[in-house]
Amino acid sequence: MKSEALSQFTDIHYTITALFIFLVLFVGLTLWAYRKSGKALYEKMGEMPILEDLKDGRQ
Amino acid sequence: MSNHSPGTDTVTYDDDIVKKFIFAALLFGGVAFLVGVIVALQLAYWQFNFDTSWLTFGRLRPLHTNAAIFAFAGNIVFAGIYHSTQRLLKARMFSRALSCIHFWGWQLIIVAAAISLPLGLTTGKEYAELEWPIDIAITLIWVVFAINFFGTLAKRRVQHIYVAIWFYIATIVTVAVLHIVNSLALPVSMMKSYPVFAGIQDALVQWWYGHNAVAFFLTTPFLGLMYYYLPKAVQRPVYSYRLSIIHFWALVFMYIWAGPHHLLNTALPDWAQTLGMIFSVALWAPSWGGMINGLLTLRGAWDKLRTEPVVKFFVAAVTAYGMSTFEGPLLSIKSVSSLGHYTDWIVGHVHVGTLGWNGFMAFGISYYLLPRIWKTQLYSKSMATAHFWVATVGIVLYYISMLSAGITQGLMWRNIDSAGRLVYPDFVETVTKIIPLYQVRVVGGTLFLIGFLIMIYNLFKTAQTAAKDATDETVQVAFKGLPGVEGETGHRKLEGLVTAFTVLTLIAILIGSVLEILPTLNLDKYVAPASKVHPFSPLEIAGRDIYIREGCYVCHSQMIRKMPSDVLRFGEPSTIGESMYDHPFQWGSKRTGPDLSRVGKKYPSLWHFRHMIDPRSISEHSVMPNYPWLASQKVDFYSLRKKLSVLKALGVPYSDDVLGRADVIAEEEARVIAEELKGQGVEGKIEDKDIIALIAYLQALGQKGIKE
Ligand code: HEC
Repeated sequence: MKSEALSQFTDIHYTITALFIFLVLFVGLTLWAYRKSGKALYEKMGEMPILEDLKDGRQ
Repeated sequence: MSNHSPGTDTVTYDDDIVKKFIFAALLFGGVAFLVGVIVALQLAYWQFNFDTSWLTFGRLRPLHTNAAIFAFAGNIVFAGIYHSTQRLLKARMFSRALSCIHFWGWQLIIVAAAISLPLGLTTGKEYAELEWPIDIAITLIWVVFAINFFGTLAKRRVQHIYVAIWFYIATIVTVAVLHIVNSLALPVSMMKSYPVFAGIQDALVQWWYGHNAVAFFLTTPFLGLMYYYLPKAVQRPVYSYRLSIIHFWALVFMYIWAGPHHLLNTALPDWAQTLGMIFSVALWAPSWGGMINGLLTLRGAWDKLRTEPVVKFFVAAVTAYGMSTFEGPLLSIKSVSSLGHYTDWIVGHVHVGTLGWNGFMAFGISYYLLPRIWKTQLYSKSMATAHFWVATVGIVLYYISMLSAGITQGLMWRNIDSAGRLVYPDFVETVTKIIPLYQVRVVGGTLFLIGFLIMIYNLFKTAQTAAKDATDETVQVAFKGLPGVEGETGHRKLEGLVTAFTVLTLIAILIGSVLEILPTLNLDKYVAPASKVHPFSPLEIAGRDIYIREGCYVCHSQMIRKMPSDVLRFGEPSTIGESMYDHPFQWGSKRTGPDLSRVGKKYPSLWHFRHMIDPRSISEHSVMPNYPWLASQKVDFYSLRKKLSVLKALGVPYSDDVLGRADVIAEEEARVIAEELKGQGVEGKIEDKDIIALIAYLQALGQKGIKE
């Protein structure tokens, strides 16, 4: 039973399917990240490391 | 931590632990660079091991790589993570005790490695050489680190989690998975074990681990550090936050698949090779996205590149990241790999990454952090600039020399004349040719080390000006508690949900891992019965363990690729079957010497005897170390029963009879070889010496096939 299940994985189609899923996920993520509505938030997020420096003007 | 006004917390960051990790990184960095220069010297001038077992190339090279990766890079990563995480989350580290356990535990592991590797106590798996008790310690300390880190996340006083933190999360999760799976082994004794995987499985697991150690120990944490310290240094937000999101997920999804590019043209099934190649080439895109994102962060602040040494280091580091992530995909193309694999080109490639990317990030962070923690200014900017240039020239010399050495040797190996014969049949000829380049490399490495010493002096002088009353940094944080995440959607919601985020990252890396590795667990499908082999005899196993102990695999491959030039030089391509009982596999990754998978019976035993004691007595220009101690050190016959029974438990088909008499059989085998040698004039009591076992093993290589 277990080895039967494992043997399924030797099928290269599974791998290609995984590749395809990854590609779709990736393209989706890219489109989503570049949505217009995210702009303000991302600007705020980008400033997180330097916020305190901006506040008290110190290097 | 007292409350000043309602809703405002006073947070004091723990910078002492940051300081400690930086010190450790610099201390062990010095060791890693020094040992690097020594091993480089040994390839240019073989005498530099002084015929001392624990100074030979095969034992020191693992020490060098482990020190560079886990001691130097590891400690600086911990320093940067502890420093930036507290600030990004506006929270002190979760537990001071855990921080200290993490710090001291890690340093103890390093000391254990520094002692055990030169002694030849090794698993024989590249970048995972440490034996099982140390592996367990690494796992425990990593868990301590994880608890401390996630504990800090849980008590954070900010809502959103900056991208650097995601990179840290991916690092912690993935390194744990990689380390545990690749280290699975059955112990034979306190400092000896056999990995549960063998042959091709072991190769695939090992390079899945090996490449992802590069990805998740040397890349993702450093990218997190880049996304924090580069904006800090230039006082600009990262060029595109969106790009950083894509950068992150692309790396997490794709890196995990790239391992098989270390096994191109080998016995690995073609589909796995192709898959590794596709993902490796595709990795070029997000990597360059990340590089551009880093470099363009300097927009409008390019003048800082001229005036600030810290920025110089960061920019050069990011550029080196770009260069090595361009070259990596290139080398993953099957035809390019056929030229570059096993040569010094690969060595040059990794050093652009480690010296340039990791090293310069580490130096930039040290220059940036220490003066701030000491509440003073860097002692000398011009000295830091001098460090920068000396080190840069060092890296350029290193890379150029290794690139030329690699391509020169690669072309010589494959040069076949019109009659179909090798133009350079004598392997040593291809080595002699590149010795001058090995000498240039020594100069490059030495410059890098000198630059480092300049930094140490500079930081030492800086420490003397440290504020005496320097206290840990304290900030006031207005915080209303973590809001419910109901209002949030999509990725933003996900960022709020640390657990979900972590699980998703884990799933992403697990999918790739499982789909890639599981098929090889089903080996029978690939190994036709005709190509099955006999397992090694007891004495041969003893010899194999000596081969592993001495680190012969760092100079010799045991994998003949399916290429005409390889086949002409070394014989039929290696098959999956041939290494099916090899715990661990010894395919190797570098041919400083010839492939050995079919060396068995090529030479008489006396040849090996003389060659092992003094290679130059046989091959005048050899750079192989002398191994005189093999002729005086005794074979450990008595552990053989235990060793074989562990191997049997792992699936190597030894009969009970062989198991029960393993030592007796081995002694008898040794006597036969010793008699033969004595008949040819070798003197002294040699039948119980290491060298006999090693000869037995070498003579068995490629001889175990079952003819049907
Ligand atoms: C510094 C790299 C290096 C290390 C370490 C090293 N060798 Fe070598 N080896 C070479 C080189 C170079 C040659 C080719 C010149 C020669 O024959 O000596 C070679 C040749 C050989 C040969 C002859 C191969 C042939 O087909 O002619 C054998 C056998 C061999 N080595 C065994 C070993 C063993 C066993 C160890 C570990 C105990 C070892 N080597 C460690 C570099 C190395």
